[in-house]
Amino acid sequence: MFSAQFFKVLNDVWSNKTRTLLIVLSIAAGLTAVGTVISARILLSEGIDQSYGSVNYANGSLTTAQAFDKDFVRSFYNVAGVAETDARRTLSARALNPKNKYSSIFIFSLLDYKDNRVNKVASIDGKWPPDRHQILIDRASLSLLDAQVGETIRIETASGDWRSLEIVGTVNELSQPPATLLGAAYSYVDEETLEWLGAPSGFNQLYFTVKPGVTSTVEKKKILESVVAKAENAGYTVVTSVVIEEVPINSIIQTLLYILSAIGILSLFLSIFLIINTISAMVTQQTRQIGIMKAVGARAIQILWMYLFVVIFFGLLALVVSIPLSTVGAALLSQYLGGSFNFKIAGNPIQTISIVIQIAIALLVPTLASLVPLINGLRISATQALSSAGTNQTNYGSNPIDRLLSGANVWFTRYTLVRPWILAVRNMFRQKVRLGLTLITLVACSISNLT
Amino acid sequence: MQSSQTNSTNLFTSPANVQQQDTSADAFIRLVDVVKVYPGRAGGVKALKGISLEINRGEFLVITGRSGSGKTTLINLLTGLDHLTSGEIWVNGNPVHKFNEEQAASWRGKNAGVVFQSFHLIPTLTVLQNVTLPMDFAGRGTIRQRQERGLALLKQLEIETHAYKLPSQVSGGQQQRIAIARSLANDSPLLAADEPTGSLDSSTAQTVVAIFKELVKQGKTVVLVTHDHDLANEADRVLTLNDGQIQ
Repeated sequence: MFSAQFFKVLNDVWSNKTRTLLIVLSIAAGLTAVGTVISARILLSEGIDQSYGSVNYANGSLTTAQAFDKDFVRSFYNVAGVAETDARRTLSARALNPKNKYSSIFIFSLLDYKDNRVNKVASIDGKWPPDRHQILIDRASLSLLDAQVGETIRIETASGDWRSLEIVGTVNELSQPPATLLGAAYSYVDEETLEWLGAPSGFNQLYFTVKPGVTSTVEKKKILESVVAKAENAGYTVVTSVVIEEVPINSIIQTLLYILSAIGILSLFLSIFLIINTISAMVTQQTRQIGIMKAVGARAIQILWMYLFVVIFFGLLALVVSIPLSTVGAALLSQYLGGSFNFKIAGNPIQTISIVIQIAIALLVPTLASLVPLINGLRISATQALSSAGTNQTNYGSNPIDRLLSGANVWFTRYTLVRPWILAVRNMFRQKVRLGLTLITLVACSISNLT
Repeated sequence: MQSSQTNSTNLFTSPANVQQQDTSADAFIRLVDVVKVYPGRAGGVKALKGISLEINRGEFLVITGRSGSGKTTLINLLTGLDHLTSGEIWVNGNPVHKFNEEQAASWRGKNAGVVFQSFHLIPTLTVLQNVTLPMDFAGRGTIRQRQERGLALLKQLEIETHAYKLPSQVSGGQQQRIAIARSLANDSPLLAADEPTGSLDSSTAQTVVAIFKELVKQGKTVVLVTHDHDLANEADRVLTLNDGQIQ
């Protein structure tokens, strides 16, 4: 059995379905945006960790002017702090697909396809390793080449000759920036084939990882210096050397997530403004009922709790909308970004922390946002509220804007006879705070859309 | 009205109130030099100009006067719905003039039932819920007890068959009965009514007057504002206000 207060709350929610829907959707919009970003962030982080965990991503690399062999690469295990080493050679060329479409292409030859140790390339399907005059294509690069496994592509050599290579499989390359971002495809051939395509024999890019426990950039730089010194002592000219702080897509993903977080927070703010405006309108509409309740003995705090209960109920309804929407949104967003950046999203899109944060926001934010209009509405005395016709008692006419509009009213009425227009403008200025919030909401929406 | 005096007493008058009535020799309501000024330009509007008045427990007082004479202001001040500018108002020993908005609401819920000309019922609540609402705010009894008391009050006022209807589904006279039932919900010793028959036809108005007289018989103090001379004739005492002063 429930009290009359409870039924008043329930009827307020049910009796004005359009208003309820508007408030619920306002809250749900902010919650969905925040929930989607939080879940997507977790899914992407998990995806990056899982994908890059198996890659054994290099902590440093150097490029030499002269080619080196496998024995030279393995000799760096003697350098203090070095855990693993590996090597590649890269050829940049132009490719022609079966549909006679040109593309830029990077062709790598790996030191040892059967013993890939650093910046590992994973076979997805087809042959591994490729034989002579065969080529493997990075999964995300197939769309750039517009070619399929089994087809033959032609590569232009430095001398201007064209060589044909059969695509025999796809691989997953995570150690390079996403091919779609660079606009160039990644492909893999054996050492002899790369030489056949015009590259010098041997390898010229050395990659290494550091031993567990080495985390600081200073330590990594010292190890790199030792590696460079060893290469130079062996007679090689080191062209470039670099410590690699993070996986290449990490900063891009983080930047994207920051932008999405900003949009999520902006959406939340917009929904706060909408809540304030709608609750303010609701309180204005129910001023007389507030007066009645005060007249029959309700204290302001009791009425405040009744309306806060309404707001909390709106928040709970918004959660019913936002939790499934944000789950689907996070799954779609993370799949899209993961696909764009060439790594798999395997995590569960239903993220407990995201749901908990949504619940906290749904209960707290609308409650706090509605406190201002509610307290303002309840400040009115019982007699004022009872004599109200549903419009707030405002001190219209007490500031220059009001007086200007009043003056304009006289002028327009006298010279242009557009009194209804002026009446509309004056009514608009009756609730200046609400007008301000509405304008901020509209401007913020426009900025959000432009972003 | 139900004719059973025993039932009426049980519903409308608590033993505590009866005891107070028997033992108190002082006036139930005492107004001392009450002034009410509504703020505004040119010094505001002086609605009451130093009213001093005593009303006894169980008295049926009717206040009459022209529009703007200060009748409604007086009722609002008596029930703590509005604050006076200066003076004192004591009701049943309580300094109503010292109450802030919250204290006044809390006191009113338990000590003063108010009936308005335009009924002022909550349109989204049923008749019964409107009657039990003051008990909810006062935290009186369990929900079941509130419902039982609400139904008993509606039965007393012969509108129990409408208990589960919305106010918009009953007549004006019935709505005023609901408002009276609501004012009795917390067994308040004071009942203040502002033009309770103003929106009713003469026949229904007579019924409402009969209800008030019955309540007075049961020990309630009734202060009623009206323009209706016939209604004034039913009162123990008639007070006429003119331009904010007792005539």
